[in-house]
Amino acid sequence: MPDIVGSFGDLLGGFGSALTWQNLLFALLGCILGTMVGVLPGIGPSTTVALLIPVAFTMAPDSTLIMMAGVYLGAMYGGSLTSVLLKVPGEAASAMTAIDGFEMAKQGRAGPALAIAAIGSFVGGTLSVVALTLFAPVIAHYALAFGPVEYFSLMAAALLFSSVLLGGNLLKGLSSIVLGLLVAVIGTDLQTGVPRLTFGSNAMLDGVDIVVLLMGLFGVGEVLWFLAHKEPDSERLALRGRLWPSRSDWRRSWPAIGRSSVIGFLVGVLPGSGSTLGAALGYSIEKRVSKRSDEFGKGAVEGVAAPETANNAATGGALVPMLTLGVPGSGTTAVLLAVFTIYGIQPGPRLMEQHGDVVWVIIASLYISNVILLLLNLPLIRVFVRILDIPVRFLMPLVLAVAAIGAYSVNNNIADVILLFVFGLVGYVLRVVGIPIVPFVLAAVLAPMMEQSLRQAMLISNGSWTPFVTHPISAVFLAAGLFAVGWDIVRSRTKGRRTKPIAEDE
Amino acid sequence: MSDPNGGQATSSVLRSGTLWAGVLVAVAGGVGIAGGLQVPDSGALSDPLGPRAFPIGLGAAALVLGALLAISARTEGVAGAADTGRRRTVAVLAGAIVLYVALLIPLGYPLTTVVFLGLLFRYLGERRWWACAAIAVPVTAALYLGFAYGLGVALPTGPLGF
Repeated sequence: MPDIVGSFGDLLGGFGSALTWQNLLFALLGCILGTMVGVLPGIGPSTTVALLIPVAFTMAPDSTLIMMAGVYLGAMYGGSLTSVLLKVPGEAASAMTAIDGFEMAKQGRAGPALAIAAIGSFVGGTLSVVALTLFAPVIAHYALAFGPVEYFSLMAAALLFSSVLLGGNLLKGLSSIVLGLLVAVIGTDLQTGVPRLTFGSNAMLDGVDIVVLLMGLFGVGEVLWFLAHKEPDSERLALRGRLWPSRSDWRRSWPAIGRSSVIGFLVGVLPGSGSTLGAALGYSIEKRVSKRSDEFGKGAVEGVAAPETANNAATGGALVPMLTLGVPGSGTTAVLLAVFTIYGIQPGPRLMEQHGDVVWVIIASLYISNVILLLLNLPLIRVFVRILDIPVRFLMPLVLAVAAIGAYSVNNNIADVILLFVFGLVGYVLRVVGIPIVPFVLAAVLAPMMEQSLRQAMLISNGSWTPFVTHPISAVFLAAGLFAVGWDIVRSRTKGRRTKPIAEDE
Repeated sequence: MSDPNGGQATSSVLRSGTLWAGVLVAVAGGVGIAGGLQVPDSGALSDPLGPRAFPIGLGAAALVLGALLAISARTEGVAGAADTGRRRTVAVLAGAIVLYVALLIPLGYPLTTVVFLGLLFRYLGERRWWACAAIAVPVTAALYLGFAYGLGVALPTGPLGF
């Protein structure tokens, strides 16, 4: 078992690095940027973190990751603003907040709604980081026993989970994964040196740069989608009246905040589920257990507290598989994982052992960013609301221009700009035909490690597939993944499910 | 099957979304198999699976999934994707992007980006030309200075020479 006291010491070391004035500045910058993108409809945290990647080339790993973690958390906070005042979620994870938040705003209680959202986000976010601090070393410790067989099965199970949880339609979720894996195969095979799927093009020998892929799918693809499906002008409610919640609001909110912290964290840990599902689950469970369930949808304060707490708690949860196993739990953590590889840090079970300094700085920065966001959000709500005044007609082309210059800067090459826009169109087309993008991205990020593990496993077993089912841990992972798929098939057949894909902003 | 989203038109859009998804995935699968078959097999004992297996296996999986999607489109009710978006906007943006990429090297980053941004602002609803320029020029300058001097990226300069 890992030493708890040792972990505490590591965390203190992380705080030592994260509390330098430079890193505090990056955390503050990330939080402000994240809140802004959370406020702006159409630009999610994964888009912003992807667009920031070129900056990563010039900064120290800890500073970059601290800033990006701030963006990730900030977007979860900022999303509540537009949900409450416009009934338009700034990012998908705040969609549930809009139901009761907007009703509260119509009753002149936008202030208490936003304050409860900020405090719930703080509590959920902080408790999930406490859980991350406690569980990450334990999981990483046991994961060190993983061989290529277990590792391949773990990644396969993670992708199967993501296809079920994010797909809405299982076939489309699985298709998204296969397409992501196929794209990642393009280029020179690192083990044998032979070109694959390049069709004679020398430009493709290096494969598709994951950075360009992420910026294209998340940045350009989102802009195209947003401009083609822009919401009509929404009713905007002014932020008036008292800001602070009443005693009754507090009494009703605390149990919801407590429950949703646990729910959000646990859902976040599941690969592929992310914050949106956490928020939806937090809301529906709260509605079920509440004595005032009839008030939900009409301005119940628990209906704001639960989803906002849960979506922030899920961010800490999503970082557990990423930091301990190298398996991203959401679109944004997939981008963060790609940033690790830019710095030559190999994600996986040895991440905490080999680069514990970086990991503990990130964990420490999450505590700090949560405090920064609470301090920022309560007094500055009125300032952030002003961001909504930026017209979409200016904002969206700017995202395209930033993405283009970012892609060019990856290799100083026009080919990457072309690929960026190609993947932007691919992202748009995938959305048009209903194929979710996040499983595609998770698959593309995991593909190299997955194939390497598979080939190593086959080498060790002399070409036999049996170890995948005879190794107990591997068998459990595969069984869990297949069970999730089987359960989804049975459920959709028996209930005639009518779900739409979970939105994929987080 | 009832359609709460509103009748036959929506349903047929949903079905066509899934049908096109099937076609897209199947084509990708075909490309994967064709490309995989071109990969020479290493035949090495140290690599029993070899470099061909992954692309061919994935291509085959995509073909099967594509076929299943196409079949499921026939019976699908509401679980597909409805594209009710403005295709003209996307077509214009795609055209602008193609022109942008084509002109980036000969005209340079600053000039191309100012024109690209200004025209897009205008197309997306900004009626005042001066407002288009007043935002496009400083934003492009800030991006250029930030990346060229801040991050050391050698951006194409074109005839302006800076």
